[in-house]
Amino acid sequence: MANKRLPIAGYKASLFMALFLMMVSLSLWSPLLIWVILLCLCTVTVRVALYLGLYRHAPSTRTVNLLAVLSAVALAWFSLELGLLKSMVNLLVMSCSLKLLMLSRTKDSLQLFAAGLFLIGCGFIFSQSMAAMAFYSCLLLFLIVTLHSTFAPSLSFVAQFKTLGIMGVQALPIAVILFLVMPQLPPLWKMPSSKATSTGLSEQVSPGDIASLIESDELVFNVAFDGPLPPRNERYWRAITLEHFDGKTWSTSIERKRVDQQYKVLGHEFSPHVSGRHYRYDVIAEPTGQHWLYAMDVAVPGSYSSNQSIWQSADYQLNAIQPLMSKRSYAVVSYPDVPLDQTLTSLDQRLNLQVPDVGNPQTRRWAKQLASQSKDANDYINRILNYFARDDFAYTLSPDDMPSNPIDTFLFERKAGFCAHYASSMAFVLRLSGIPARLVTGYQGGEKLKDDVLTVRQYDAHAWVEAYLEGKGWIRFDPTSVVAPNRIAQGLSMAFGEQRNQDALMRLNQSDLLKSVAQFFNEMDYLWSKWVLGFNADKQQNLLEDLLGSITPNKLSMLFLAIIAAISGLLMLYYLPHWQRQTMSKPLKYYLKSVETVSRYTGVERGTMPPATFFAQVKDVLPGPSKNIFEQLTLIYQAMEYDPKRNGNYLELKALQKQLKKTLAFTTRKSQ
Amino acid sequence: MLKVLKQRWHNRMQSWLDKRIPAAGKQRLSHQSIFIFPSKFGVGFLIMCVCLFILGTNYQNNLMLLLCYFLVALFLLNLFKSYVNFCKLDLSALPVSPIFAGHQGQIQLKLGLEKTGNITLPSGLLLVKWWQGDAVYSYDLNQSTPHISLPTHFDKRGNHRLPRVMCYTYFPLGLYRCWTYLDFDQTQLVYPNPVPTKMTLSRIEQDDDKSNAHTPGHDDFAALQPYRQGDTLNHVVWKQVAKGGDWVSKSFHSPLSSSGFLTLPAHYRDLELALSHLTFQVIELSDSKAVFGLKLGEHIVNPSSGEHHRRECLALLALYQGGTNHGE
Repeated sequence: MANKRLPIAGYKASLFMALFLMMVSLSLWSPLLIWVILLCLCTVTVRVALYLGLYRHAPSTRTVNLLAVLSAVALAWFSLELGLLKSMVNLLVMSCSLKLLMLSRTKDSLQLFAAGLFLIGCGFIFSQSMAAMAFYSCLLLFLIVTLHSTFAPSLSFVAQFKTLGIMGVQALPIAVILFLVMPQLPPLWKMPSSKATSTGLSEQVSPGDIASLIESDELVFNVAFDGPLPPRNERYWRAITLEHFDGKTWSTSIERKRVDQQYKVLGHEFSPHVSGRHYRYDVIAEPTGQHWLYAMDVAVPGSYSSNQSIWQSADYQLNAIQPLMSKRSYAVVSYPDVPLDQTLTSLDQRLNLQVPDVGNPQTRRWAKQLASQSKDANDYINRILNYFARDDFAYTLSPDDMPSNPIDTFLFERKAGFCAHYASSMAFVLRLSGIPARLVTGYQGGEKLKDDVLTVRQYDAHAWVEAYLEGKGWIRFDPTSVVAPNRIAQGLSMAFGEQRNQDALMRLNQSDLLKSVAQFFNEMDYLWSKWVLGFNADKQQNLLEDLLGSITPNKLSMLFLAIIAAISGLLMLYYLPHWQRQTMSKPLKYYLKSVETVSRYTGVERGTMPPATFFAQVKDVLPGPSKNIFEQLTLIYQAMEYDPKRNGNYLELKALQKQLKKTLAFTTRKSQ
Repeated sequence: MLKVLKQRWHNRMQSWLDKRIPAAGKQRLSHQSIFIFPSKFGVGFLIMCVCLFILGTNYQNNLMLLLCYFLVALFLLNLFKSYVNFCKLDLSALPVSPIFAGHQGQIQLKLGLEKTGNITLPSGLLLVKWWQGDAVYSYDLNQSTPHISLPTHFDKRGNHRLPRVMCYTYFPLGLYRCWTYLDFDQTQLVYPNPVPTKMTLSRIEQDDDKSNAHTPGHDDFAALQPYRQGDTLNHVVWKQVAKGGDWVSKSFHSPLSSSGFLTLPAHYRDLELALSHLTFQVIELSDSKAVFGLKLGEHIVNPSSGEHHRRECLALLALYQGGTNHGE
């Protein structure tokens, strides 16, 4: 690459690069710091001004370096709270912006191009919807146009766009073939993840937390069943088991984590024995940046590759080995009738009898009183549920704040709350009288998207209680179902539509047309998630098996060769015609061939002679039969080329030309 | 040691190229003459694809993988795209005009820009340089540049064969470098550098022919002629111009008898310097339209004048090999 200085004003590639950088940084608004976006917009403005010639001198290297140092210091300051991934994206955008100021050589624009590609790749970390794909595809095309204009500066934008658009369309089939057959590897190492998304469950639940999720109709996961959907009351999607209670907040137990870690080191994974009625399904989970997965009890991974990427912990929770940074599809089999009694009783009991030493005194007294009245654990539990079933308890989506002794306040004063309030109180009361109990958060229900597909959204978030009963194992109790049976039977939006906020109300009152459009987009999005984003090693293997029958090394190598052949075939298809493209008409081609034969025989060059003149020149030298043939040929050719009314067949000419060649070759041989 | 190896490598390469891409005044590129290899940026691009692959695998992000494969496919396509573009190039050399030693000349290459049939023209930036030269000249094939010119520079007189011209392009995306080394079979005639000196025209007695033939010169005023572009300003009749009249210049005649032969002095230290002196005189005499001849060893150019004569003399000076040494 010539290391010449590039022009500044009027240099198209620099303008395109500036515009690209602006668009890509705006599209990355969520991970970017606001001042980084502003910095980027400023440098873009400077570049545009330079392009228009409003401003003549590019900033000096020293100025830009100073700016770079200052920005780097500022970014380092913010990086602690941003986390590694976001810091890196910020750094990349920042350095691209500053490089844009210094864009003066071809090398600079090539570096910017590479960084731009990387930024598009990063864009896919943060958004993977179809819309994002379409947007970034356009940006990619634009970026490639920018690169192209570095090497062909005077081609018009439209011409470049057209050429590269065609090239992109040509590249697409090859990319798809590669995507389908290149092995889908498991993650090679752990990558930095961004912090949890703003909505969604978390490993700590205070009673008010889940209520805030109700306002969001963000997609959490889709489930595609192999067979009929489970009934509503079985759709309890476990996400997190919370075993530690501090009087206000439930969180995952540190001890449980430690034990899990030990098991992981030993490679001793919990695998429940399962049998009987089961549901087989694929979950396509939206990215959360977290490890937990969603499944109904008792769940086991449903395929080899799912098994590879999932770690099952002893609290029946499925954990992804790599956090869900992008949509993830995994196969699960759930056995709803299998009891949850296969874990270490001693550990479970020790963890789940823990209560804080102080706090909620009224509840403690009430639990003691209740225990003294009950015959056994079952009776005790029923008494609690009955207490909730009394008229004065209400289910509300906007519970009051309960800052101190929240359980006392809830049970005896407000008596109105959300699922987490009921579950939290019940688990606490159970623990007080020596029944191991814990809180489970996850999702309950889900709407039918298609006949065998459920969609679960944030507003389906739910919390329930698990109590350990001797001889039965962990039993699920859902106090919410006692207070608000509709919540479980019909789903939240049906049961509590009137309580949801204004936006949600709007959503529920949509016209049929809007609803069907929304449904269409949901289905498209589901298919997109399933076939593109959720394409994994399992699906790849299925595809190969469909293609090859059973997979053997021989067949694989054949496939490998076939794919190379297919790709080269595609490339040939694109380019060979350009080399062999006919530049002359068919009649002319055969006429010229015959002329060549005749010239060789007679030694008379045609040069620029018209066909008739040439024939007159050679007719005396040509032997009899070939003379007739050549005369006929000349006449036909003349008629075809110069008489627009005649649409003769060039095959006639071709036959004559062959005949002529044969005759002349024959006479030559005879004369020798 | 390294230099020797380099030289040897260069020679082998040269002889290989002479076989593979024979010298010709008109060069049409084909698979015989085109070399193609990923450029540095192309290698960087592949490394970027690997990075995207790793990132996509680690984040289990199919879109990133798709992007990576798309870029790989683009890389493959570009191999053909850049080759097809480059092989449309059609270059022919125009005759090279002689220069003086130490001065700069140029070779002009004509681009075949006629569009024939459906075959489109090459596009993009074409970079041209001398083989093993450093200076790179870039031409935009999309702007209709009829000629590509490459400067030549020689410090020694003689007839120098021009080295191969390296043409290369990174079109369309800079991922590949397509290049070729073309030998246009051209030589550059280099005259000695003129060094000012006194006239040493040795007069010859012209006994037989004492005619009144005159040749334009400085000596005797002959007539007034309308001023023509290129006439010496010294000869312009300024008085006439000052009066507002037409530009008129005086023409002089120098008698033919003043003609003679230029020749190397009987004793000289430095042949090159002596030739430079002669060159200066040839130019001066030609400018003054004098009739003169040139004798160099056995080579003799008979007295004459005019542009053709001048070129003949200068060519002789350029190619003179020394022969029998007159000096010392």
